[in-house]
Amino acid sequence: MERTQIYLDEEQKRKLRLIAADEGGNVSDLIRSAIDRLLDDRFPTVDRLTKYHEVRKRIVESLDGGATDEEIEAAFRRMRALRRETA
Amino acid sequence: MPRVRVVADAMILAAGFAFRNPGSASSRFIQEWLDGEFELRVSGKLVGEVVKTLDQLGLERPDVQGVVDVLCFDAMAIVTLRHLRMGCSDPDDDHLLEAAVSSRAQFIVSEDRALLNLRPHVLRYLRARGVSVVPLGRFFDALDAVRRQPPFSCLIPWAA
Repeated sequence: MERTQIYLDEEQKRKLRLIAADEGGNVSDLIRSAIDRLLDDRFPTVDRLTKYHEVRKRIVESLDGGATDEEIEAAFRRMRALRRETA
Repeated sequence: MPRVRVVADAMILAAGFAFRNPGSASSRFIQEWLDGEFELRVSGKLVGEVVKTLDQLGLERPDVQGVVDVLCFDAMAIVTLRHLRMGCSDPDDDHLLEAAVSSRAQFIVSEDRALLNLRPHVLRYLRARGVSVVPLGRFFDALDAVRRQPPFSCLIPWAA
């Protein structure tokens, strides 16, 4: 790791210290984990897509009766209409 | 270049996981998001709606949990505290508008007629905050248009 200096305002520092105290960590770890989240978001890895395809495959397989996409969409619309009727 | 920020309604998110066709528009929406083409914003209420929708399809808990994991870990979570009445004909849709405005999203993506035909004063309110409500097809067109823009053109407020 390389030492890096950044400027934070008082409010940011106060809140970071609160979270660090609450979680039993330190402010540097919090800042590094926030940066990790930003970088994961901006430079997505293939894992996100792989995970999505796995989840989707499991769901499609577990939907019994072989409902078509049109039937699923119709079911969604019925649910919404029912919710609106009962609201 | 700042990426487009998007709020999608629960039906689109649920369909993205439940539709058999991996090439469906809902599935493409999820894939483009996970590919980093835009930022998806979700609120607790929205994730709750997706869960409810999938529950009603009869899915098992672990499968629904898988969806929640993808949405909660990869989307930008936003907190909507105020539960404002935004003027939707169905008050249950208000949270989507609140989520879009509070997260400064440019798009609400929905195939729901009630959301696509908001009252004029609601539309004016959203437009004034740079939010457009569009169906999936128009959203993909808008996304393509953004991709074709030269660098720094994002400084122009294109979401009129």
